[in-house]
Amino acid sequence: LLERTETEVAAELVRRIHQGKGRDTAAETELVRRYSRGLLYMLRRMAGDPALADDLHQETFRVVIERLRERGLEDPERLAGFLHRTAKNLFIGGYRKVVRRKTEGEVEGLEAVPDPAADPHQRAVREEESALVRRLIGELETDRDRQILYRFYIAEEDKERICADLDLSSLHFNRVLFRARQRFKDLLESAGVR
Amino acid sequence: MMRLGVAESWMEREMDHENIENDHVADLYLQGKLTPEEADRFEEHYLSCQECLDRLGRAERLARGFKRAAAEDAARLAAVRQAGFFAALARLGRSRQAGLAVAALFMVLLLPGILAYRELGRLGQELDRTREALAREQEKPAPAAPSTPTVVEDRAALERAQRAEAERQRLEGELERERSARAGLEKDLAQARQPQTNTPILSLSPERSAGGAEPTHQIRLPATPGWIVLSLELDAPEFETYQVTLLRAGQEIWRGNGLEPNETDSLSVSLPTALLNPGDYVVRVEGAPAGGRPGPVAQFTFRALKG
Repeated sequence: LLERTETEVAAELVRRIHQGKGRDTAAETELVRRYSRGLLYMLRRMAGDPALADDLHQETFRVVIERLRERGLEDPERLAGFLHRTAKNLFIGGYRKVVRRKTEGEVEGLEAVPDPAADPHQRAVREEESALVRRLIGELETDRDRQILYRFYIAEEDKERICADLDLSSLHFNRVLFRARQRFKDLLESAGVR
Repeated sequence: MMRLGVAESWMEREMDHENIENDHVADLYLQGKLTPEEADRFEEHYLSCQECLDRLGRAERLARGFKRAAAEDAARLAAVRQAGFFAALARLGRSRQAGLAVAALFMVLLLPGILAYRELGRLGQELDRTREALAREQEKPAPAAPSTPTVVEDRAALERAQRAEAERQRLEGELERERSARAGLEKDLAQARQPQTNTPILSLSPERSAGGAEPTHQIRLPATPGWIVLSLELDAPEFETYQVTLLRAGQEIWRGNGLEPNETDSLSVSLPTALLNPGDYVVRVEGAPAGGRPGPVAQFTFRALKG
């Protein structure tokens, strides 16, 4: 239902922007509003540099809106896929040599990436995250649950390996993670963080 | 990395939030464990899904919180390990404790002193022999016309005695310095055997801006000698071991080789505060490839303030 709704909205936006040829600013604004947050999140992960991600974000919307105005899309329901590909191509084409993707290390981009820990607000946020996690750990009922979370979130071990080592069922593993996420969400909300 | 069983089934299934939750897709995405195809599919989904964006944000915070908490614990543990010898001493019985401490002191401090004593004794005996020989020569009745060889022998004996006396004085000075150093170290040893509480821990993130900026991290040096722990956060460790160099005003203060990152991708270094004076410090981390020269990986700065 969720995906159908999304594809229907996407097809409608593509149709309106193409037919409007630049005059349906409401549709173009809606396109940006709808995809902006997700696109920026993806680009920040990809680029590892907020300033570069902001530039790519703007450029992606410019390219996509121009394309929709001129030619529309063959498969209008795949608007998200088109935005995704455009953003990736822009990054790969023009910026790959400047900053490597964050998950591949940041050595080449060291000079360009601001230090998040240097920002007192960021530092406070990180300290709060650590404090909430300590509280969460303290509330866990068993050492085994703690081990599951340590191994998944810190050592980043695979679920299958953790389950095999600790003789756990997949269901038990999922339940521990689900409860931890839920509790963390509650703690964040009570701390005033979304 | 292909996650057989989880990711394959997830790829085959409908992109709905129940599957995303049960298959831990957000966590695996953040850990970089989805295949490129899986990552693309999830990215296309969350581009317009506020719920998944919230989910990703929380997953990121949770993982970061765990890692930070673990890094803090690891740094504390490193401080405890650093004092492991003294802790082990503390666990022994009092007599064994004293015995071991005396043995350690013997090896480090007393042995050079004893060697100096032996050398001093040898030189003392030589000096005495020389003096006796000189006295015997002086007690002999003075010859009417002393032959030249006798005068030469006397002068040679006197020179030997003077040299031995100078050497004796030098060794006595050396012995005094040894005694003084031993007293200082005994005091430090006694202090180090006391448990250290509230060990200062400084978590450092790599400097990313251009050099020359003021250090953002500060640490206040404790009034009494002790340890501080530097926890150096590495972005993406690529090497098995690292070399860490501590510099002040371009001068190397300390260097450690063969350091391995812990499970939270950090290097923990415990330093005696006696090594630090108030001022700005640079910590240079270099990756050490097998059989190659270490290359720069990250640089950290901090300012030490007077306690």
